[in-house]
Amino acid sequence: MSVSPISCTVKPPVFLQIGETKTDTSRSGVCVVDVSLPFGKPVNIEEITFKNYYTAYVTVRLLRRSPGQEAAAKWWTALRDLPLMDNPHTEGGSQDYFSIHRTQMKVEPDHVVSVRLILRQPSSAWLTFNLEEIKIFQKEVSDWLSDLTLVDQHPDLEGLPDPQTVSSSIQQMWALTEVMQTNQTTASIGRFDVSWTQDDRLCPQEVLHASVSRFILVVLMFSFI
Amino acid sequence: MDEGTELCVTIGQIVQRLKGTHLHSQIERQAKECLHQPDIRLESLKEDVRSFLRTSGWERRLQNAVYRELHVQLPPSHPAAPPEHLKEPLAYMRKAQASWEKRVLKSLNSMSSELGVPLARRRPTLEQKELTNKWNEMGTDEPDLSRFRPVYAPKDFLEVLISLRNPNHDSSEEVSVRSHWGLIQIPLNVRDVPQLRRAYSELNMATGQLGIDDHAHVHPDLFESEYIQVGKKVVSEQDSAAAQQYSRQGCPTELRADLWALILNSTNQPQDVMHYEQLKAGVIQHDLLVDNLIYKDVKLTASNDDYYFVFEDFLYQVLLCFSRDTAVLDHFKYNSATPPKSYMEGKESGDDCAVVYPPNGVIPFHGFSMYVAPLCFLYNEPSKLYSVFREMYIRYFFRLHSISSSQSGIVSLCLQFERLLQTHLPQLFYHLRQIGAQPLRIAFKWMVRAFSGYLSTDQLLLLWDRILGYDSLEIVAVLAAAVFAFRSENLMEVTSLASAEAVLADLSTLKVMPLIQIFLFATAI
Repeated sequence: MSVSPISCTVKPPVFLQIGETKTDTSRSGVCVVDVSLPFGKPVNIEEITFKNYYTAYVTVRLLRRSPGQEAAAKWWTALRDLPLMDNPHTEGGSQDYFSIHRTQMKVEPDHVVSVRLILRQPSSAWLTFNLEEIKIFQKEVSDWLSDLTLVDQHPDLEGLPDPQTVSSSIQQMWALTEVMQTNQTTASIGRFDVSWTQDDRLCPQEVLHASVSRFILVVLMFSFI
Repeated sequence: MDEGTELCVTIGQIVQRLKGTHLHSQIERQAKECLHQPDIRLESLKEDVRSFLRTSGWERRLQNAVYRELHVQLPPSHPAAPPEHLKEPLAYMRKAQASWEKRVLKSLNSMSSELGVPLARRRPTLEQKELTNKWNEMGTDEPDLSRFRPVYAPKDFLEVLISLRNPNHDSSEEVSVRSHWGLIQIPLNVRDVPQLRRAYSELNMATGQLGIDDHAHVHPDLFESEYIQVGKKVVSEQDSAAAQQYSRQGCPTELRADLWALILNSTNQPQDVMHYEQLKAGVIQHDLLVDNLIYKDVKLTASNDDYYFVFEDFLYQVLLCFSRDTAVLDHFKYNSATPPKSYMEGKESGDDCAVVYPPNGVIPFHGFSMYVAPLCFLYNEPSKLYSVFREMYIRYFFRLHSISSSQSGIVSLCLQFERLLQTHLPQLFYHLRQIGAQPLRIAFKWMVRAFSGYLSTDQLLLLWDRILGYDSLEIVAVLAAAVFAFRSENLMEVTSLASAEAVLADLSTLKVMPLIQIFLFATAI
């Protein structure tokens, strides 16, 4: 199963403030990063990877639109407050690489239209915080095609006998007829005892035996189809 | 990555590293030879061979080799992380380390061109013969080393650490909750006394310690004799992990050499002796500029020391071979430093003409020989001494002179020392700061050498027992803070940096284990 990154646009981070005026002395501790996926193509997310830059906790929210004509899109929380740094005041984990797999998410990340990452950094020790190199991965489409071709190689044989046993029994039959041909007897079969030694090169018994054996084989083969 | 995947990756990496080693071929040969034995049956072949390997001790040797690999392995990482991220995750520290390395290499190159001495040259045959004859007494000749000077000293490195800044860190000058009085301004996560108490629980007052409970006036039956019996058993079992756990309470003098060799998995096999002989041949054939630096360093430090001057010849034999050992280059995978490169004569450009110089990638600084000197008390065979020193360097000592965010790195140790002092002896710290005697300026030289050359040797070896036992250099920072706590009354009365240094000049009478124990377990929180 291979995953490929989807081309998505990461919007610039929006730092949330309380109230109207933006003060310089107090820095915001919450930041929202919207990642918009290609329009009109809902995605089934496999994995989200990113590089941390001094973010302490991240919450992942997904905008899902179920398939259907008039289905409304709804926001779901996939992961709440995943800790990226052991201690928000110190350097541990501050520049590490992380990935969030779909198995870690609380809701199935299918038919996703947009992803919103809410970053929190409660410590005032840092001037800024963000996530870098955000990549969203989905399962590759071409995998489905290879699955189809695999199906072709194994046709459905319900109701039919196993080809292996048929071929081995036909082999046995063929061996029997060979034996019959080599062990020819002059004993007559009955009504078909005719000999044309002048015109035909073949001995009538041989012709009879050969044709009988071939007739038996043909009958047998027709019975298997 | 979940735990199951991490474990699989770890196992795969260790198997990869152990395949093709001498131990692997030895075990294979043993398994083949044991088939001649009558108690190996065909029906239960796998189990019988396994139990044979267990009873003959080969399984234990394999366990020790795996345990050693776990110590030098890279921590599990994200697949998207580039290799430099594995060496050091913080970008600004990588940059600082790179610019420091450039400075050191520039200093080395300028010394080479000023003095007209090439970085490396082949010795003429006569000189080679002379050196072979004099190999065991290299300390007797007195080459002219006055023109050479050490590439850098610990105090130069301290200035670099003081100037380290995180560009994203808010280090405003206002007094706040986060005000740090010390010199290191990097917010690394360091452990405080409550966390250290949990981590170093074997050092508490209720547990027997060598260094405290083996004192003359304590009856040996109370602790010492039984402890030595346990130690003898550990050595006979040849188990690395057990030896490491045992070493936390100290190693008895008579067992220390065996125990340390077991913990570091330094078995003196014939191929190790052969490797050492090859390095010796390399020393005789080629002369490196760093050899002169090593000579100068040994003459300045170890030869002047009352305890170590007798080992001068051993130090040359070990350090000269160490400079030529390319096996040391392996450790740069997890060291934030990068080995310096130099170009061969006549070929100035192109990466394929660049060679690592010196061959082991480590440029010695003033005091480097003190890492080897205490080991000379334990081992008198040069190849064994060499392999123990090399293993100790690639596990611990390299962290003391490279810039990294590791918990055992020198930056973390300095910060931990300052934090411990500021938290538990604030009056002393404030006073020293006011008189211009920042405590780190006095303690740094102790920590860079892991106290080698400052403590008396028996106390130093007890300290290094705990470094090996806990697989961490944190105890060095704790001891530095404990020394300040011990001499705090005298230090409160000094009025200048020089007098503060005079109070702390002589540590040779200190007993390290009582100091550490009191600081960790008797400090009021």
